Formats: sequence, C-alpha cells, structure tokens
Amino acid sequence: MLITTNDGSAGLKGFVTDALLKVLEREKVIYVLAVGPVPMMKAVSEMTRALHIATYVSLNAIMVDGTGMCGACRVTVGGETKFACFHGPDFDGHKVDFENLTKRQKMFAKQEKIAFDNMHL
Amino acid sequence: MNDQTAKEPHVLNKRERSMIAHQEMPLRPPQTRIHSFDEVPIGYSDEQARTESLRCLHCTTPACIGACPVGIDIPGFLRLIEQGNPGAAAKKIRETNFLPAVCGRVCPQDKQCQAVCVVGRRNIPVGIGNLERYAADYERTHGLFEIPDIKEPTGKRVAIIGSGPAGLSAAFALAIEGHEVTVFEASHRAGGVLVYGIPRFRLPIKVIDEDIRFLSKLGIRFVYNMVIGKILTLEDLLYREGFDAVLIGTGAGLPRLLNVPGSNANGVYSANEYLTRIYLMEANRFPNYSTPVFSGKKVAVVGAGNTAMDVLRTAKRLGAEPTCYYRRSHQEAPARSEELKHAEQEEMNWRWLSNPVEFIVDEDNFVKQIKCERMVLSEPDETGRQKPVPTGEFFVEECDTVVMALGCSVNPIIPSTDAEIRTNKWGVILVDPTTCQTSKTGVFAAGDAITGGSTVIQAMGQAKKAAAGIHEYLMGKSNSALKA
Repeated sequence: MLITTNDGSAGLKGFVTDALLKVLEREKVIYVLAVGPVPMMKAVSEMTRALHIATYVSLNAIMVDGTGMCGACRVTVGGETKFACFHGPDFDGHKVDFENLTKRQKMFAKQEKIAFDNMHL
Repeated sequence: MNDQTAKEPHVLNKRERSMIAHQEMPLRPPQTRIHSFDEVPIGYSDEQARTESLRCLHCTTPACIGACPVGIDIPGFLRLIEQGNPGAAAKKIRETNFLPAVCGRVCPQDKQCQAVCVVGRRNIPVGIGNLERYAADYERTHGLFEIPDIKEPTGKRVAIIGSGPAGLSAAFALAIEGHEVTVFEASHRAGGVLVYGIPRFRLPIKVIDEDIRFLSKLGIRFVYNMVIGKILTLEDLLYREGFDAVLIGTGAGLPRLLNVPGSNANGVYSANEYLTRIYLMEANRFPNYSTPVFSGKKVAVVGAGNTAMDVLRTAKRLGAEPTCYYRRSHQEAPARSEELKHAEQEEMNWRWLSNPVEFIVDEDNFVKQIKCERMVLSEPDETGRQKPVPTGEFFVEECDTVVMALGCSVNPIIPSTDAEIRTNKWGVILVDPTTCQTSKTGVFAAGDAITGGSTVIQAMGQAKKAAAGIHEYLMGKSNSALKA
C-alpha cells in the first residue's frame, strides 16, 4: 500500500497519480480501479488512457434516493446517459464525461455552503 | 351516529332524485392557494354530501361497481351517506378498499365509476369520488377507524417490497388472513408515490400517515431504508431471511428523459427528482431540512400529464413563474381534466405545440434558455389521432430550471439482480394473470411493476389479486410459477 498526502505529512508527498506513476514505472499493470474524488478519478483515467490500461472509476454523483427513481445522478458514459446509482457506480473511466460530471457536482455548491453553515459545527 | 335522527320524509323516487342539483366541490381560491401547500379542494359539508348522495338512482344493475377496479359497493355506501351515516359508509368502502381517503382524492373517477354513471348521460354524474373522500375524512376525523378481525396466525411470513399503493394493499389483505407481513421500503417513510410523487395540495400527508398507522396496528412491520436488490436480494429474503413468499410492488419510478443537447445540464430535473426533493425530502423548507432544490424564477415544465400539472403548481407555490411546454395541443393534454383546470386557474404560461429541442446552458453548465420547435397537428390517421409534425420554425425562451414530466418506466433494480425474474422488453415484470406469480416460484408482483404505469386504484386491484394468489400459494393449494 502506498500512501500519498498533499503536504507530505504521511507517505509520499503528492497526488494519487504520482504514486500510480511510480507503480506503472515499476511493474506491468493491466487494471486500475479508482475510487475517490472526481478530480482524482479524472486524472487517473487520463493517465491510463494513453497507456491503454483498463480503468474503472466508482462515481459518487449527487443522488437523492439512490434507487433509480430520480435521475439526479445521471452521468454521460460513452455518449449515453447512465444513472450512477443503478447502472454503476463503477464505469469505464475512459468513457466517462468528467467535464459534465465535475460541473454537475457543483450544482448545489451554494446550498451546500448554507446547509453546512446552518449546522453550526 | 344514530341514523334514526336522519330527517328523511320518504325515500325519494328516481324522478325526484334526478331533479337534485350537482354539488360542486368547494375549492380554495387560486389567489390564496398558490401561497400554500394546503389542500385545494376543501371537501363537502355534511349537507352537501347528503344532497349529492341523493342524486344516486340506485340502478338495478349498477355499472359503477363494475367500473371500479376494486369493485366498491358504490350505491351501498352512497345510501349510508344519504341516511346520515358517513361512518358506516366508510366502513362499507373499507370492505373492498382500505385507502378510501387517498382514492377519493386521486382516482380518475371521470374515467371509471363516474364515466358509466347513468346520471351522467343527461347530467353531471354523481360525485362518487368526492363522496368517498367525504366518508373517509369523516371516519378519520371522528376516530371511527376500526381494526378488522384478523384470522388465526398461519405461521407463514411474507415480505413485501415497496410501500406504495400496491404494497400497502397487499400487506393489509395478507395480514387479515393471519400471515406475518414485513414491508421493506427503500426510503425513510412509507407511502411510495403517494409521498414522493403526489403534492400535498392534492393529498395531505396526514391522510397517508393515518393509513400507515392503521396498518401498523394490524401487526404489519415496516423496515425503512432497505433497498431490496441492492442490500438484500430476493434469494436472501427467501432463503436467508426465511420468508415463505415475496411480493414485488416497486412501481414505475424510472424517469423518462429527453435526449437533447443540455438534458444533463445543471437545473434540469426529472419530475421525480423535483417532486421527491420537495415532498419526500422537504426541500421547500431548506435549510431547516438539509436537501436543497434549485427552483428558479422561470421554471420550464416539459409535458402535460398529471405529473406536469403537479410540477407546475408546485413551482408556482415556490414563487416561480412556470411555463408548460407540450408538443401536442391543449386537447391532447393527457392530464385529468380537473388537474388541468386547477393548474389553469393558478395562471401558468402555456406553450402548446412546442417541442423542446435543446436546453441552452451558461459557462457553468446551468440551463439558461429553452429552445423549442413549433409543431402542427397532422390530419387524423386511421385511429383518429393527430400527430404533432415539426414545422422547422424555432423559438427560444429564458428559463433557469427545467423539469421533464414525460412518464416513467418500471424500476429495474430487482429484475436486474435476479435472473429468474422475467420481464418484457420494456422491463415490465411478467406475471401469471390469475395469481400474479412471477417466473420465480414464491415471488409475486403487483402494481405499476406489472403494468408499466397505471393508477393507484389499479395497483390496489392487482395487489388484492396478488394477495389472494400468495394466500393460495402459502396454504399449499397452488405453487406453480409462471411458465414460458
């Protein structure tokens, strides 16, 4: 297991992609699974695309019910609209439209701030 | 109530009955009702209800009973209202329908019982729905609910998946037979579409909650936040949890969406998402409740069915200026005439013969405009139906929210997680028409999951049939799953 931290307080200083690059240089990799924040999964997919390494990402699109009922979590995969809750959450990272997903993740940014402040943490 | 006090000089004859004027349902005025989620139809007074009930001609062979999917003894309960005994009328309805307060409000009576009412041939048909609601409300507000007799425990356990109209009806019917019933609900509150999909101004939440309490009193257990097919599978229920039979009542909740540029823009919702955020998650009370909804000033609603009307009226109550876009004309709008009328009273913008072709977005992917193509209706085809035909003429209007109300398909989670459950090409679960048993032994289905989308009362009618099928299966009389 390789740990990375942004500030270097533990493991490698840097991003997940820095650790991935080390592994890719060291050994032959045939499958990559990325689970975490959208920018990380996007960066991993971009890195492996050029190398033709099968890559799956586990998408955390905004969901309401999580049962296929509302469609809030729709993502574009290979040009088709999919529901992350029902068709996913794991998709081929090379086919995911990360640009659309990134923007959809910010749909409630203002309200999230209000809700957070309202919790008086 | 003592029905001897009913002040009736003599039983009216048919001629006298047909002279009585139809009682209009009193409504809250549009100017005030658009500022609240209170129910719009206020309900009949005792006097109005008695008067309306007297309009029933008590036909020798009442067509209304046959037109009701659960076969309510309509003339029977009308007679009890006429005699001044609405509590007994409610009890009479409950013999065949245990959600009268719901059905009185949301059933399409104008296509069922009231469509065949003999009075309706020359006059306005008897207000059966309004009277059903009256009796049920009277029963509830006077605390007359009675727990029916439950048969000796059979020792059999039934799992019901989904707590919408189908699941609740089947739970009731099976509990009465003495089976141990557990209802699994994916969300945190029971009622299914009654809670997430029907606005409070059409169906107050207290009506549903009261019915759920009634079921709990019958010993039915509710398990919330349980997505069957994801957390537990059908196999888990049958072999690990030890249920003797399972009923799938998961409805038709998979929204259909337009596949046009901008469909996945921010601010573009399915009607299910929009309504669920507001009615199930209480987003209209954000931030006191933590689920938000972005409902802007200019809300574009695509479609003209009942759900589209619900969305338009909900948006209005959230302070928006809603506009309805529909590719056919006003005459073809699939909404119940009453829903359309109520929406029109609340002053929406209407864009008939307008087919959305693009949702134009800003740099952050938020929708800012809707682009439509103007349509014309073709000459009627052999079936008499006029098709909308594109004209090549377009127009663009401002909007900051889009809600697509284009109908739903069957929820795919359970069929996709159990290969033995067979569906047709639209994902509708196939069942034996007499028992409602699916292609998997011991698993039954009812409601929108087997029709692809119908009404509350149809779902209840099927649930009754499925409950009878399950009962027979459990008692060892029949055990064959649907073949081929």
